[in-house]
Amino acid sequence: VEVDETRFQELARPQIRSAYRLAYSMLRNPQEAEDVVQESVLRAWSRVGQLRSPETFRPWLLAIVANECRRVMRSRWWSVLRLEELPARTVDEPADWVTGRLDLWQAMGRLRPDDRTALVLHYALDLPLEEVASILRISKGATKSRIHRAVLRLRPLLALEVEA
Amino acid sequence: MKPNADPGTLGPDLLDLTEPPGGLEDRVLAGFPAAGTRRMRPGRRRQWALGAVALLMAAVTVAALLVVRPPAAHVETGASVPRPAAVVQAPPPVSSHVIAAASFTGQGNGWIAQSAGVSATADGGRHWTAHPGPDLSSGVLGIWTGPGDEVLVVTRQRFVPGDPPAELSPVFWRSIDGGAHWRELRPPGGGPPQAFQAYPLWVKDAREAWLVTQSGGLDPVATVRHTTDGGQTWQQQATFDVRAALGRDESVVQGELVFLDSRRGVLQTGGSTGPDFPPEPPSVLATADGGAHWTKVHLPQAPPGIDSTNQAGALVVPTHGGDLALVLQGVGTGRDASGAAKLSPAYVYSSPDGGLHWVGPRALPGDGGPLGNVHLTALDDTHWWWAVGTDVYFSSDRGRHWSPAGALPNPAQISDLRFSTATDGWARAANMAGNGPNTLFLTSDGGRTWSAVEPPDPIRVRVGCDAVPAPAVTYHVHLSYLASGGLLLPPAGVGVTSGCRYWLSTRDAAGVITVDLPQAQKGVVLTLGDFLDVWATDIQPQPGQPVAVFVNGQRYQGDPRAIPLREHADIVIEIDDGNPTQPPPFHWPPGL
Repeated sequence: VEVDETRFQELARPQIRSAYRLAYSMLRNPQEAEDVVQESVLRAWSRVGQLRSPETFRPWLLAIVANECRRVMRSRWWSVLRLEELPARTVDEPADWVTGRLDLWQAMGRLRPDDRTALVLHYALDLPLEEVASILRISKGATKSRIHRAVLRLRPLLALEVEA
Repeated sequence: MKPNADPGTLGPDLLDLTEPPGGLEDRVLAGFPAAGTRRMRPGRRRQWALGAVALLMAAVTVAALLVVRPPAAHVETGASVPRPAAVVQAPPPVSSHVIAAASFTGQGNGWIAQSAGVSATADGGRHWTAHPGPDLSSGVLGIWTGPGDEVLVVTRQRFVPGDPPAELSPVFWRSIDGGAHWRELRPPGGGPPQAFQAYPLWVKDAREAWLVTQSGGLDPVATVRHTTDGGQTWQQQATFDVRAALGRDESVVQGELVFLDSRRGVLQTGGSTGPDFPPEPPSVLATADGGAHWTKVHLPQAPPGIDSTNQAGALVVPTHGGDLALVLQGVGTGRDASGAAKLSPAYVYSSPDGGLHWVGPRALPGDGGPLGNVHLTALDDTHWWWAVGTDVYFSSDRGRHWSPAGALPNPAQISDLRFSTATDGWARAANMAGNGPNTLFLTSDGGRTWSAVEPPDPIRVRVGCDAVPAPAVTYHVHLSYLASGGLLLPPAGVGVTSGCRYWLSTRDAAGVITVDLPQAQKGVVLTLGDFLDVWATDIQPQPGQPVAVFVNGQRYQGDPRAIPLREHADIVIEIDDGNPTQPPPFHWPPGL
């Protein structure tokens, strides 16, 4: 099977938004997330010979993104001041909706990065457990329990936020 | 609508949270390099055949190595080495800017590079001379001095999209007159943006350096370049095919590079993981012909329980010659007190023959510390130092045995240390976890004791630091910082050192600042600026960013640093898009 630049872009383009969501949830910084996605796509292209079939492109690319995110997280530990940024608000959003989103963002921030990743992959990107497992490099059972654990951890955090 | 972590609504909520910005796909693919057609992975049968051949070759290699080298030695338990005695002393002077690189040559002669510029001292930091010239805004890779008045600063060049894209080679700033004049030198061979990472670079001193560049696109040919005049001229030392050298379908070369001379070099590349990447431990390549041919060398197996697939590493060349050292550290699952991930304990290998054969691994003392670079430095085979956290250890037998040497005052975190002689050394350190390296220390007794160096731009902290706190008044203030909605709170431990506690400190990471005023200061009103000085952190927005400050829910006009820290003041600094929202009030826990 041949993959030329055009075909690669056809495969990559539909996955870029998912890749960004994953990177953003892990890094919590939009600029870093976009950088990582850009870099990951180029790394994927340079390694496209390792792709078994177009059907596995999505988990393959998302695994590269997850790896790149981990690399970025490792390298920035000493940043003087790293600010996590929320998506820009729009003026017509109801105030309680904005507050709720802030609550969720803060609660997500208190989860381990791998737990965040699992939640975003499964709930936001709607990936089946098998695919999440292959991206996280853990078993399907471990994936299931990680997601379950992450939801359990998230609940009291959100409850606290709401009560506060 | 409040989120509730209900799986039924969590997905849409998370989709809202992570909504990508407009035009993302076009931006990501805009810089895509034009390239030819490539093949996917060969079929299973061919993989089996290739795998069998690889296994056979590996077995032959291992057998050959076993003939010439004994099996890997038993891993000694470096973690059992006692920690150096904690140091109790006054907090060190902290620089206003991160000290990105330093180089001290003994007798108090030293250079530092900060984002604010390059400075030199000849008396251990009592006096500093600024040497303007190099543009350090994009990041400093290092500073090297000598022989004579030669100074070399190497800076990073960030990827800048454009047509054509900016080159990625590092930038050399060279002075031959002790920093009075500088020349900006750009090595040849930078390429378009397929390689976002810096090219492998090894700088031996202010004159001699090696750099591996690629021409760009997906051209797998890399060029080894060598300079002996601080980057003024570069000789093409060799070229090699990256895929052939790495032994895998990877066209970009990255990793740690060292050259011992114009022929012998070592390249350590990181491993990779993923569902369609077989987990690969880091590989070490050695060359004996200047880089034209690279041989993958055998690295004795890491001990069980160490993640060997996703590691940080560093190659260390002893200043005065001796065994090469390779430090590896896997990403562990542990967490430090602040919740940040910790690395697994680090291990060191050594090579007596320029990287062709390695012995080890030997455990290094400490528990791995926080994520970051590994800090091993060597003078020769009998002088190795290893730093983790605040602690410095010494080995006289190439890492086989370690003993505590000394420690920097808590809560400093060592970022870098070097020794110019068996006794004289220096260390860069952060004054607390989470900050960049902003303090400097010198030792003249092999690392047993360390004295703080006054940086050229010290933060003058106005509040006191009591060895035995006896506050007459204690109250609390809350501080939070919002940038486009993202929340930042001061970390735990601000203002708490091993020798004293400042009148302003944090006990946890909830944003609560504790104000402890001694009897003599009972009526004094401290300010947010005082706290930021203790924290050694600048939270000023970038030029042009709108900032809104709220104190107890009311807009505050004026310099945030002047905000008085009164009891139960709730301070929110918000950088936003011009539509700041009044933050919800902080609910004080009972007892505060």
